[in-house]
Amino acid sequence: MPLLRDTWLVFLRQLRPTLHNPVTGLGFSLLQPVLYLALFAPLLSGMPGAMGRNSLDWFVPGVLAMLALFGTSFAGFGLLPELRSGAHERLLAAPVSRVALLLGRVMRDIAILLVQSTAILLLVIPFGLRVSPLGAAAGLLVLLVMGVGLGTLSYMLAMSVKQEFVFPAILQTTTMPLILLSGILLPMELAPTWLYTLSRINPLSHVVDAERALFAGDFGDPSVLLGSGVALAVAVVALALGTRLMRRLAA
Amino acid sequence: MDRPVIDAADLRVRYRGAESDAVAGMTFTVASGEVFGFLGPSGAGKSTVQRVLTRLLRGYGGSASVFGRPLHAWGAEYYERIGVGFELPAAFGKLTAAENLAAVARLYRRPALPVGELLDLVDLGAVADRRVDGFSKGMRMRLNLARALIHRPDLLFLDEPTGGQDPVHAAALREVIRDQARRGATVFLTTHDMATADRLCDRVAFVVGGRIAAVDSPRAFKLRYGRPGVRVEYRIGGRLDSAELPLDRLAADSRLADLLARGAVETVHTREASLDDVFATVTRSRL
Repeated sequence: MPLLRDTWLVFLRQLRPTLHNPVTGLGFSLLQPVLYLALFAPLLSGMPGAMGRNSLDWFVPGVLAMLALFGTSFAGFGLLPELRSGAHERLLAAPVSRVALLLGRVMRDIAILLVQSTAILLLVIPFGLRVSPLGAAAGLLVLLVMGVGLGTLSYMLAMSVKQEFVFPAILQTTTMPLILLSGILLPMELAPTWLYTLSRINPLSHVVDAERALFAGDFGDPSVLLGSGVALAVAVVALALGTRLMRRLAA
Repeated sequence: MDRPVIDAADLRVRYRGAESDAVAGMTFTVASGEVFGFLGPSGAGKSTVQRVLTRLLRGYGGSASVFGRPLHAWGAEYYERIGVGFELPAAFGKLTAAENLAAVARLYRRPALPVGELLDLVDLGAVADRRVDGFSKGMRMRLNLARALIHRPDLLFLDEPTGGQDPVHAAALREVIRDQARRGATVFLTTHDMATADRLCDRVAFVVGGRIAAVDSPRAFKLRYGRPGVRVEYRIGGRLDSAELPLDRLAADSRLADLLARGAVETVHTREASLDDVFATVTRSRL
């Protein structure tokens, strides 16, 4: 199928710079979650409830969700120089599927997210993280699905705003409340009612809840279905919009 | 007569929010194997026409056919047949020159030219394994041209192909482009560089204000806008002087023969207009 072939080609093209310089491509973006784990997680150990009993078990799934959020929602930043330089437009004048130009990029971001998430898990397990292997695999899958949606939205945003000084401002403004209302850093059950209600509107909070249940191996928890459904819905809606946008771009 | 490769009739483009047409009714044809130049001041509509013809801009009026088929009837296979080199050098900076070409070559189903051969052709063979973000503008532009040629296209769209080049590289690139026409490819180029247009194009169109002001061969333009004759520079008694001698009276005019006999002539130039002169005259009169 031309779409699959083209997506694979674009994926390889996008991945090559990361393979050239894996430290920059993978390492630096790992720094933020590692710092959270090293400098913030210990603060939770004295807290009441589940997060205090074993702070890593509670905190790591959320950190991985944060990694997925930042890793994929800022992905469009890499497209901006190509939009400015004309490299992207030049690809539009090549016999390659427009949709593949988007999907290949998103797949690259997802591959990187998978490697980074696995690295974090392997790094933290010796420090006392207890996970259900099957649950962790399912949890990563949910994050990857959400990442597909967020990455697609990020590229769409980049193609819409095109300007390098506007793009990060919009993302900062969007991701900050998403993080604060997600329950990644502290449980939203501690929040006043109005804040808790807001957090329930935040799709990310449901994904975080699902991650915590999955990593604990609690597949029967209702949050698993809800969080997985939210991640899938974000991906489906984003892909539908992204496909439409790419087809309208040219040819 | 063979069917033209490009056939545009009353082509019109108006950008959203603009008060006037960027392209205001252009009609032209480009024959197979022809090098056709679009010349004109910035904002004249040259690049817009190129964007229409490369199917990157679909909102246009009038009609445009390429290879005998209306543009809107073409699909992705159109890009198998055309090569595009835009004014902005559009390479992937984090890849090497060779990787850039290899990545592009994989997008085409047509057999690609060998990457090394192509890089040698544009004098980048020695830096094939260097990352492109360290390249000068001239090097990027040469890579841009190589990229456009990689699948041996039947029709080339080139925007300022000699931009950022020193005279030696500019001449070499002109020769590369000429070779494309020799093998049968058609070339549609837009440029401000009159030397490139003069030496490369079979015909040029001067574009002003979204319209084509005039189309002809560079030679015909130069003759039409020049004054037939020669200009002689001579030195007598240590003083440099010059004279213009009309061509139609040159045989009867003994001045040149006298000056030559005295050994006073230093230079003799014909007085046809340069393409720069034609550009200035045509565009100024139509602005």
